[in-house]
Amino acid sequence: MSEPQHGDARPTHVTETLVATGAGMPGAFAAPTTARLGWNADLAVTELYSLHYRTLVRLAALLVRDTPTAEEVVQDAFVAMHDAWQRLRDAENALAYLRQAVVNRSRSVLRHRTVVDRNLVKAPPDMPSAEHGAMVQLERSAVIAALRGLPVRQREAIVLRYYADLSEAEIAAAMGISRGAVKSHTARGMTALRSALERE
Amino acid sequence: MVRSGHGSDGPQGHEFAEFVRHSLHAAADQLEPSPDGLQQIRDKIRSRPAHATARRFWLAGGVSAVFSILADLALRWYAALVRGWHALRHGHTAPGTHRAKPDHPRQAPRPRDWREAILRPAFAVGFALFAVGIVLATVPSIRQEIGQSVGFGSSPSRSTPGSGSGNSGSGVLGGGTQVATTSSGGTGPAPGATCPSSTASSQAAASQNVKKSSPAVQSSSSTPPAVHNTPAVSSSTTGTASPSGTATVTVSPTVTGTKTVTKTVTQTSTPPVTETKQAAPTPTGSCTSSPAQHAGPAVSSSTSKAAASKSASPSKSASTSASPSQTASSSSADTYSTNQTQGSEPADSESSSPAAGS
Repeated sequence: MSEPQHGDARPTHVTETLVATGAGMPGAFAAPTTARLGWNADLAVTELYSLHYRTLVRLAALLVRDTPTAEEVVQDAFVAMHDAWQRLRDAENALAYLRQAVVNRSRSVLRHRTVVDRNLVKAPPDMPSAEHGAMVQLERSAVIAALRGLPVRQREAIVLRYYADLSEAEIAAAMGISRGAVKSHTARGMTALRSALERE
Repeated sequence: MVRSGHGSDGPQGHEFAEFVRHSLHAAADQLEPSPDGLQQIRDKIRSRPAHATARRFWLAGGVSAVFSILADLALRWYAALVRGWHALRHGHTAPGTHRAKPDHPRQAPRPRDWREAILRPAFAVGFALFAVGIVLATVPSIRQEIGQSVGFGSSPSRSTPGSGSGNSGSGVLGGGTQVATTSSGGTGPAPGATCPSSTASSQAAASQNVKKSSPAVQSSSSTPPAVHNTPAVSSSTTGTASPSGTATVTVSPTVTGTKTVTKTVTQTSTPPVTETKQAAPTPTGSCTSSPAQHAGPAVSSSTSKAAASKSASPSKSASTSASPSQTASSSSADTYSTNQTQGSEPADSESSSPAAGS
């Protein structure tokens, strides 16, 4: 695979950027303005991993409701980003690509899970795993439980807007829809969420 | 830029939005991904190129097939054109005129020349090659992968040292492994892989020295050389022994910091010693190896002949001007795959210099 040969041109201020943005915090969704050209694909994966992996996994976990699956989704997104780095060549583009890949793959996982659940024979209850415990802890939130009942698009819009703190344009880019559709999905989702919480 | 949750929801909507935001953060921030995520991504990336390469080769094959079909069509058109031209040249009338005269006797098919017979396949092969060339020229990734599969290409990005939290300063595919720039057999381990730049510089110096000393070696007899490096001095030894018994030994003590003193010693039966002092900057600051690893002189020899070429001759040790505190990068190689390392770092590169006089 051909990659830009700029491995030695790594900016020295990436570490400061990492500290300033706070890896793993929601603010890390904002692309570091200092991370620009000069990365090759491997370095970009490493840096973007340290900056955004945790947040992307949490975002995916809110969408797919499963931490291992969320990790797999995000890892696949990173692999795809690595393959597409020659086209991206920029940290901001790469982050937008990662977000879109995570949303699309989460959607695919949910679609696949729907098909599997439809044909699944009920298994006897087994010992709960650690991930199951974490998800139970996650499901304790009433908002998360209500979010689970929303349609996929509305859930994506709400999670991207209120967890990832993205703008409408960024949500539109990540979901592959228009800004008007983002507004519509968000408004309907919030209405449904509010009514579901009031019912409880 | 209007951020989410601000603005158009009204006071109640704003409060509810804040509530949803806090709930989402409180719920999701409990989740901690596994710490080996980067390693898993590396593994996935590492396992992908085979599939990607296969897919691209299939793509290239498909493009070539399409171009071959197009070439065949072009050849058919060209053959029809040639037939028409021959018909006109030999005074025959056009096909429409033939239809106007149905009683005209039809000519027997002309026997095909062998050059005409191979014209179409040759044209098709040429066109297919042209198409493959275009594909390779327009898609550099395929070109690079083909080069890698053939063996003469290398991806520097695979060994690009990177950094990042939890990565111990390596690229995503690097993992601390870098391509050692050895050109000879490499029977032993190549610790020089941790310092490719100094390897390159020492290789260049070694090649220069060998080149300078080649005339003396050509005029030498078969007396085995005797070269000795003082163990107390951190220095490097690059020995090149030709099958005829002559040898060129390059002593390259490298001073950590700014200078490299390269000393070339060529010993023959009439020992003409060529000394070349060469000051060259070497980035050996990061190449200092741990003392535990190189506490003593490590000698690894694969042949007894090479071991014999390292016999003691104190005449060379006095000329080395390295202080005991110096850190030397050493390189040792000869055509008999002998590595002799003295000093604070083992042989970091092996350069197979051309055997003089061979």
